[in-house]
Amino acid sequence: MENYSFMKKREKHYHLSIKYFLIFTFFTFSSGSTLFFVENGFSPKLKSFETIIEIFTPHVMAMGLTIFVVAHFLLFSTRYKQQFLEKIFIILVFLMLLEESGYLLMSIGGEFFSMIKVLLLLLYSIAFIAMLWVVLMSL
Amino acid sequence: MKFLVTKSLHNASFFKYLIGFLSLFIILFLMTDSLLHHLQIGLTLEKASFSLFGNEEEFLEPLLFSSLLLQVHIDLFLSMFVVFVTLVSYIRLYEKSKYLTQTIHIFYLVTMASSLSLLLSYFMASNIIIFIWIILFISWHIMGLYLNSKILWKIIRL
Repeated sequence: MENYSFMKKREKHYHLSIKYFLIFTFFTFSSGSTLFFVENGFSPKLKSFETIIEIFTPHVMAMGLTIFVVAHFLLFSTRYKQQFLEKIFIILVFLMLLEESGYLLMSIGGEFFSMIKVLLLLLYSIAFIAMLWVVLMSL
Repeated sequence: MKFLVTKSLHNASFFKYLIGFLSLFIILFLMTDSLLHHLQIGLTLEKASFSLFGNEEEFLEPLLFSSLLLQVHIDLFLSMFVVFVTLVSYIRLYEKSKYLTQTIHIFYLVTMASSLSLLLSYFMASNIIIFIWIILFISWHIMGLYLNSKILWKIIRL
């Protein structure tokens, strides 16, 4: 069995690593959002089906993985109730899927959905930053 | 899984394979990532400067900001996982190391500064910042290679 003081020390190092990981996640997220606004402004234009799939494919995997990795740190937390964490997680995943489907909605529903796409991105940004904050506070 | 109870890696051969091959893949990634950046942007001052700002004599167009931002976005995402996974394994295997806290700080900060300095060099149009980016980029790759080699070495000897 392991020495208790070593376990505490290791836990301290893991926490430090997780804090940096959260900062990194924030930078990755910020660069992605900035890229969206640099390319589209506040009124994204309709894209071809191929471009939509080209954007959707890496993002659905990468964002899903990132949300999973960030959220799984909460499994070790005793600070928040499970129901609260479940709600935040479900909202985040739902918003992520809607936000990623924004271009698809635009190709079906027309230019009107460009505003919806921007709104969804803003909502998703708020939910994602809230999740990062909750994880940071749980450490 | 005896490992889950004892937390000892000595008798967990499957776990050794998992961490060992993960480190090996990260080592391969770091090597090919360096090569890819050298081919796409350039790890020499002259080549990187031409790639970012273009060159009239050789009819090279400057890099679009959105293309650079996309590159930085992908770099941040990949390096984030590489650094995290490397350090999690390293903390587990070298928990008695004297400079563990410093290693965590330096590895994360150098990696983050690397991507951000590439963006900064574009805005400042400065060769000095490009040079800093090259140093930081090579540094974090060497650090990653060193830490993963240490992990692999320890795993083989366990």
